[in-house]
This record gives sequence, C-alpha cells and structure tokens, in this order.
Amino acid sequence: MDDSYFEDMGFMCGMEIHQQLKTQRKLFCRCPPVYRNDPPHYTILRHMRPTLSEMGTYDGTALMEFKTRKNVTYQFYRDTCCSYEIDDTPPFEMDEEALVISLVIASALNSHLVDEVHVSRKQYLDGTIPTGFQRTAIVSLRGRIPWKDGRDLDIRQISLEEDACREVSDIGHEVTFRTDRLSIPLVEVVTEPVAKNPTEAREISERIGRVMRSTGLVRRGAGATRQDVNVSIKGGKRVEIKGVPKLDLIPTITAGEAIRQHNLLLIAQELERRGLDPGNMDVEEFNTMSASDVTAHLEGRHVPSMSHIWPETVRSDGEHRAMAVLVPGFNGLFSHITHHSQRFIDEISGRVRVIACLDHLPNVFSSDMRPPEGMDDELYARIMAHLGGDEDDAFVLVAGNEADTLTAVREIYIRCREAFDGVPHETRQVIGPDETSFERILPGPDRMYPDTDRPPIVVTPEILARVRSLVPSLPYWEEEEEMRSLGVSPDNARMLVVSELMPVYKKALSEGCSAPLAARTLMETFKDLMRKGHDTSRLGGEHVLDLLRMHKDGAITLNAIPEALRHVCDKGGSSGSAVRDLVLEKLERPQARRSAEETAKARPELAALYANGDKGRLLGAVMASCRGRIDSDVVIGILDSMFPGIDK
Amino acid sequence: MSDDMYQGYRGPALSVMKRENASVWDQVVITTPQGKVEGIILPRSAGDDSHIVLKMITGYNIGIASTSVQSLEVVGSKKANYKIPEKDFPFDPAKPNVIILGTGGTIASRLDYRTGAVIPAFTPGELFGAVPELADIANITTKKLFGVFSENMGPHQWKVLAENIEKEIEGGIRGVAIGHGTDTMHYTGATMSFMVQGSPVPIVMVGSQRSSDRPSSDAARTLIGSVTTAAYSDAAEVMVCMFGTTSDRFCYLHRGTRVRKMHSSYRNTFKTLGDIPIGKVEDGRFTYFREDYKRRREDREVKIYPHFEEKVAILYYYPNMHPDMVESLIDKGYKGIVIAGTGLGHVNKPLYEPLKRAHEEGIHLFMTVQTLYGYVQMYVYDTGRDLMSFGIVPLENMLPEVAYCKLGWTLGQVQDPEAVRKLMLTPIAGEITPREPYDGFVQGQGGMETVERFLAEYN
Repeated sequence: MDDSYFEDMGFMCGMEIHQQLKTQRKLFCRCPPVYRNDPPHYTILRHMRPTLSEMGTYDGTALMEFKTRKNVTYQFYRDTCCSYEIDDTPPFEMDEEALVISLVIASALNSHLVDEVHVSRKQYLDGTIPTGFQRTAIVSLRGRIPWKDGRDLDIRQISLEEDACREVSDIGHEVTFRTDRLSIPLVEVVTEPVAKNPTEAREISERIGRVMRSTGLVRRGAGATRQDVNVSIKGGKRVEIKGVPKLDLIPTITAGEAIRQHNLLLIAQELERRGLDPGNMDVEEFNTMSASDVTAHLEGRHVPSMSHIWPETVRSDGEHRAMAVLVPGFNGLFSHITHHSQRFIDEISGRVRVIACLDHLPNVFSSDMRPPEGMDDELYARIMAHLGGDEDDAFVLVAGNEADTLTAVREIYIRCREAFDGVPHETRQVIGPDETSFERILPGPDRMYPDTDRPPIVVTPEILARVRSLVPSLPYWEEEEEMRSLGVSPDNARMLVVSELMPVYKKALSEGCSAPLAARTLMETFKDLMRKGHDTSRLGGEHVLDLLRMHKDGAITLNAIPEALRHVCDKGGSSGSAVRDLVLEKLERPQARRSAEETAKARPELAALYANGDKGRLLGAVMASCRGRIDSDVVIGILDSMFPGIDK
Repeated sequence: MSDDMYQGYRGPALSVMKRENASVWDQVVITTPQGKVEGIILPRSAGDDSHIVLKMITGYNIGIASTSVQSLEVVGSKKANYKIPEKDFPFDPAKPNVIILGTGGTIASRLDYRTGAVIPAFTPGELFGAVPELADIANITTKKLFGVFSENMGPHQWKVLAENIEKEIEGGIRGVAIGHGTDTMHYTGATMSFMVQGSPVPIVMVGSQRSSDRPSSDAARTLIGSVTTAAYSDAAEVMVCMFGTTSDRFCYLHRGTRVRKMHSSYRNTFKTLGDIPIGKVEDGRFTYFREDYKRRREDREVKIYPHFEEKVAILYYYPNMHPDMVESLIDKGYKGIVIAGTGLGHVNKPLYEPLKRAHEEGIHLFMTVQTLYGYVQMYVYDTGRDLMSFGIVPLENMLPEVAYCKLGWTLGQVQDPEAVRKLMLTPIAGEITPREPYDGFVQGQGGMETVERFLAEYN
C-alpha cells in the first residue's frame, strides 16, 4: 500500500519526541545520570493508588491501573540513586543546565519561550515513576521550522521533564523497575498532526531529532531518543503508540495502526448493520451478556494452553476457574482481522493481559476460532448452549485464578461494548515491527496538576543570554548546504552536521583547513578506526585539529593523518608525538629526489616502464620507499624531470 | 472580596489584572508579542510579583510576564470547587465503632487539580470516598477538633483532645484514632500518655509522610493500620502507627512516650528510641514484640488530667552558650526548664551561676541528653556532680521532648519541688525505663556489609 492509500483514509499523525539531555546531574536531584547494569544494591516495594479527581471521582486510567493491583518493586543503587528516586525526599532545585538546554532546543525550533516555568505533576499509576507522577514543565509554546514542498513543520509545545524508570520485568501482579534512568532530564517536543502518511511520520520525527542533535547538547545512544506516535484516521480516534525506539519502525507501526482503526470501524459498521443496540450493554448492569463458570464443562480435559493453571487436567480446585462470556450478535467478529496477524480477539486479549494480569498467552479463546488443543467443537457447542446463545452469538472463554478471572470477564464485556464506538481512546505499545498491543486507556487532562514542592522559575535575561550563546548559528539544513558547497560529500555533511564532532569541524574551518578533508577525517577516518578495533575513545578534537593544521602548513601529507590517529588510538599521546614517533613529517624535495633516484636505479625494469609511459608501478615503488611522506604529484614531478622527453 | 479576586497577586501582575478587569479563575485569552495564549488564571502561591499564572487546556501551567500582556480578554470563569462529594459511610452492626479525632493533619485528602492545593478529606463520607477499604474494618465516625498544622499544636489543643478522648471512651467507643501532622506527633503522643491515664481502649495517632493526593502516598495504609489497631488491638495505650520501612509493608505501633520523628521526609521516619516498639500491624494482623503493654479492658473507666503549665522550656545546650540564655528564661518567668545536655548530661561553667539562681528562684530544673539514646549519668564527671548540687535533677532516659511535655503536665498537677521531682521520676507510660535492652539502640551503619545485606533484603 502506498502513501496515497493512507492519505485517502484521512491519516493524521503527530509526534511526541523525547530526547535526553547531556547534563552533569539529574533534573530534580544531584545524582549522576548514568545507566547501571550491575546487580542493584537495594529494592523497595510500593503500590500505586489512584487519587480522587477534582470531581471526587477516579480518572479512567487511574482506576484501570488500580484494578491491576500490582506489587511494584524498585531497584536502586547506593552511589547513583538517592532518597529522591525512591520518593522519600522532596525535589531539589531544577538543574539549570537542563533548563538552558531545553530552551536552546526550543529556540532552535523557533518556539516561543515562556516567561516563567511552572512544574506540573502528570499522574502515572503504572509504577514507572515512584512518586506516581512525572514532574514536567512547559518551556515553550508553538514553533515552526521549514519542511518540504513549501510546507512547514509545526510544533505545538515543548516541555522539560524527568525520565521514568526502566522496566526490568512485568509478570502477573509483579512488576520491577530500575531507578537509574529516573529523573534524567528529557525534552519532549510535541508536533501538530502534520504527517499525512506513514512516510511523512518518519520524516518529521527525523527532522526534529536532527535539530536537537545539531545543538550538540543532547545524549546519544540506545534509548536517548524515543518517540510516542499519535495516529488517527477519519472516523477513528487518536491512539498513542508509546516509545517507538527506532525511526525505521515509524512507517510500519503507523501504517499498522491506521489499518487497525480502519478495521475497527468496519466492525462497528457491521454491528450497526446487524441492528445491535449498545444501549443494552450497560457496564454497571452487565445485563445483556451473561458470564458463567464453565469449569465443570472442561473438567478432566488436558488443555495444553491452560497447563500453567492446571498442569494435568482441568478440575474445580476452588482456586481457579474457567469462565465464558456470551456476546450476543457478535458471531464471526472476534476473528475479524484488525491488522497484520492480529484479530479482534487480540484486542480483548490485550485488555485481559494488562488489566486482569492474566499474561500467559493465549489468555482468551473465542467461539469464532478453532478450539485449541484439548477442546473441540462439541465442547464449544455445549458451552454455547449453557450460556443460552445461538448461531448469531459468540462467546469468549478465559481461565485463571478467581479474582483475576472475574476482572477479565468484566473487561471483556467493556471492550465488546467499546466495539460499537469503533476505536477506543488508548495507549498502545510496540510488540513487533508492525504490530502493537494495548498498554492503557489514554488519560485525560485531569491527571495534570501543579507541583507545589518548588517555586516557579523565571526565565531571566541571564538565562536567555546563555541560551542565545548556545543556539546553533545556522539551522542544520543550511549548515549542511554550506558544507556541500565547500566540497564536503553529501553523506559526510549529513552525518557531521548532527554529530558531536561538529565544533571540531567548525574550528578547523575557521583556521582555514580544508573542509572536505576535515569532514572526511571526522566521519570516515574515525569510523574506519573504530571498525578496525582501535580505541577511538583516546581521540579528541585536538588530535584532529593538530593534524589538519600540520597538513594545511605542509608539514605532513594526507596519508599521515589516518596513520597518526591510529597511533594515538593505540598508544595515546598527542598528534605531534604520533607524527614524530612514526616519522611522518613530509620529506623535503631533495630527499624525495634521492629516494626516487635510488628506486629507479634499484628497479631498472620499472624505470623502463616509466620511460615508456607506464608510470604507475615506479610511482608506487617510490611512494612506498617514502612511506607516503610526500604527495604523489610531487613525486610525479620529480620522476618526470628524471626522464626528460617522455610523454607527460 | 478583592483578596479573593486576586489571590496572591501583587505588584505589576496585580496592576495588569486590574487594568484588564480580570480576576483569578477567569478564563482568558492573553495576547502577547509571541501570540495568543488561552487558559484560566490561577491563584499565585509562590514566586515573584510580575507574572500571571495560566492553566492551559492541556493541564500545564505557565507564567506570563505582566510586561508581555498586550491585551487580555475574559471569556468566562471557572471557580474551583473545594468540596469533596460525600458517600455515606456504610454501617455494619457487627463491626466495632471507631472514632477518628482530627487535629488538622492531612491524613486523607483530595487535590485541587488547578492550584495543586490539598483539600483534607475528613468526614466519614469523604474518608470512605478516599479509602473505601475502611468500611471493611469498622464503623467510623469523625470529629474535627481543630484545623492546624501540627507545629501549632499546644497546651490548649492537648487539653481539648484529652477531654474528647475521655468523652468518647465513656460513650463506649471501641478505639480512638487521632489524625495528626507528623512533625509534632511525638509531642502529642507523649502529652496524651500523661493526660489520659488508664484508658481501656487503644488510642492511636496516625499521619502520613506523603499526602494522599500522591499515588505513592502512605496515607491509606497508615489510616487502615490505625483504624485496625483502634478497633481490634488489645494494646490499650497511646501509640503512634506509622510505616515501619519505606516499602509498603507494615506499620509499627510505637509507644507514645518513646517515639520520635527522626527524618524530615522518609516514610519510616518514626523510631522507638532506647527500646523496641510494642508491635506491628500488617494486612489486618498484629505481631507484638513484647508482653509488657497495657491490655484492652471492657470497662469504661479512664482518668484525665488535662492541665498543663505553659511556661516550660527546653534548653538545647551548645558549646559557648552564654549565661543570658538562662537568665532570660528566669526573667521571663519560666517555671520549669528541661536541659538537653551534652554526653551524659553536661553544660559549660558559665551557666553555673544563672542555673544556681534559677534554682534559688524556684524554677524546676531537669537534665536530659541530646544524644537521645542512653541515660543521664551525672555522677561520672565533676560537671554532673556540680550541676546536681545546684538542684538539677537527672531524668534517666526520658527523651528531651517527652520531658518537656511531662514537665508542663506535671506543673499542671503539682508545684511543690519535691512532689514535682517525684512525679517526674515516676514512670507513668514508659517514659523512663528501668533498663535499656541491647536492641534498643540499633544504629545500623550504612557501608557495613551486614547492614547493606539487611537493607537489600528487608527494606
């Protein structure tokens, strides 16, 4: 399917791009922002409890997450996590470096900086943040950068916030998080839904990511940039897909979501065509669908997909049960494809997995699908009869411990009710290259409230002056253009402009060094050394600058640069000492001439070839004897003068 | 009225609001050089006087400099509603009746999402809405006695509290819980231990270190623990029920006279000092660590002694304390001084003269230790012997804050120096213990392998 297919669907997509900032400390405490992979020193146990909303009710997401009743374990380290990360002390002053960087990014995106920064709390009850809320603050509103074909890329808002914990595991009612990532400063750039197709979705994310990296003030590497993708189609609803880790996944994931919404709308249309009335499906009453304990029907059977509950055969043990929910009029709909290999029953399965904590898959079975091993059509017919359903109806079967199964039954009912509305408002997670699965109900603005632990921060003229001094003088696409006009290859320009080595390039340029050579050295030579296993962590900008200066002054040849850098990787020290150690200084012309004469004398056959116009081999031999310490055009000049009369 | 319209605004920001006829809670569109911004004007609680706080539709707040406001259009108004909808607290004749007396600490609350202000939930209906599990434990009634932050608790509040406890006990209550700010909970715990004697039912103080507007709050668990204790525990003492570890696991039941807040923000801030707690409560189950607590009785007999002498002070000694510190207490008419001395109970020589004078003027002088752990031992060094010769009475291992409460209370009962001395040295509710058990001083030092292992496994 090409992009126009999605444009016809009314595809709309905006991004929330999260970028970690390169700071010395975390946003609200003085801990270093470092990831840990060694065993944690301590763990603590917490539970997240929904708080009453303004209206004295509970927010939908909040309630859902409380239903799951998770034991949340936090792992932490004595030397890099403090009492702030475990929510045992109020926040310290906001890291000013982080604030400045966020304002630099906002300025680079032509966004309007706020006059005063107010920290808010955004509730999260999934445990990813031990306080139960994320501290976040708007630093700028709106913004616009040029994009393509005369179109602009519009920004809605930019905020500075603390990163959440990393999930270690989530099994049943036990979820474990590591607090190392918690409170690492993060900028969130929210775009308007300007992407009209999946390809553009990737483009806007990439473009904004490159603007942020071009400041040189952001963290890089795995997980440093993550995007939440908001997708909707005409008639559908905004669905947020959390934490898409790679740009390359954006087109397939967004396309998959558009198709999913399209199919959910088809299901809603089919329900309407069948004349089913959602008004009969009151969740509080639970009246038109009946759920029954059907454990007795399965008794004595060995069902492999339920062997985590009943290892031998199904039996009434007073602890576990199998329940079936009759869904009137739904015959055939559970097997309706939603996207790729997913069917409508998988929508149900996702809810049951998250909300009822029945996470051993498959966790639900539908009368629309072939019975799993250990069950058969005859059993399905008996269950349907037990439920009082007929050929228009369908049922969903679920099994587990009693409490979770009851939660599951209710959730199945709720999700079926939502089928009438087409697309539910929800957050989904990436589970494959083009597939997503339910994560949680999309929360409302009710979960935002002011953080009263710290006073607001005025963006003072002093802060603004620092910000201005750090904003890149040109947008990256203009900088890139300029590089290419100076002869830098398009590939090198594209990579270098967002690289941390950009300041080295700019310095070299300001000193009159060759732009293409500087770019090639910083991009290709560095990468080549790394690929060959040399320790490039020993290389700094000064090493490159020194060599570029030496080359500009004629002290060394082009060939000497990679050799000297390799020597620094292997042995350390300065570029100057590498040049001296390896004796890479350029040869004076008389020395080169002597070398050429000696070579010609020692290799008369090559000299003869040269005299006959075949210059390559003698040239190579002379260059080798000089160990590249002279430019080849100089050697050719020397040789030509040694063999007067040959065709030049 | 105008206060209400411009809550917290001053200076240039206030001028702009007046100029534009705007007030707090107005829905406005503000035009700035950067464009229009829409939102609700919020009250201002902190910060400078030159920014207007706007809550935008996304829920985020920003501050707009008064100098940036080109124009401001009021399009509506949305006043905050500070009321919590109530639900009837279910009554079950099979369950015990428990009263929660409120002093003003925020044990349960709901949040005003616009200002971030915490609105206390306190009536049974509000509590039921916030912590519905309470209905599974007991029938709860509530009585709000005061609405003060705990640093504002004092002799008047203590007296009213004691009288109310008496009334509830005589009225047949099964147990009393007291919602209290945590900062001074141990002062009130100690004072109640002296004012209310021989209670037949548990009197349980409870608070929270993370208010209940936060999903990670400890409030629900401490509240459930305290109501469970008031309803079912057989320990008829004044106790503090607060988190035992920072994890959501259990609450300790600390004796009111041996407990102290030991950390400004940790959840498990309360510790029993120089002894061990009475026990713990976890998921409705009690584990008692000791046998020597007073048991619940079925009678309704309780004695209260609510009088308290206000002119009592704690003198926290530090090196180079000048005599005028003591002199000013004498000159201001103080009747009793509890000294928190160094080490075994010492102060410097320059204080000798004013202390002698204080004694001669009839001021009751007592010595406690600022080490908090351990006994006053004034015979060991000359200084201690000198001080005792001026009439300073060592108070064994009574905590300084507890000694303050007890001296105020004692002087409310008796004045004769010998009677005061005798009452102070007679343990009423465990404020002095005859011996200090080995596990009464557990100061695990981080870094030690054994301590690290303990923290890794049990916190």
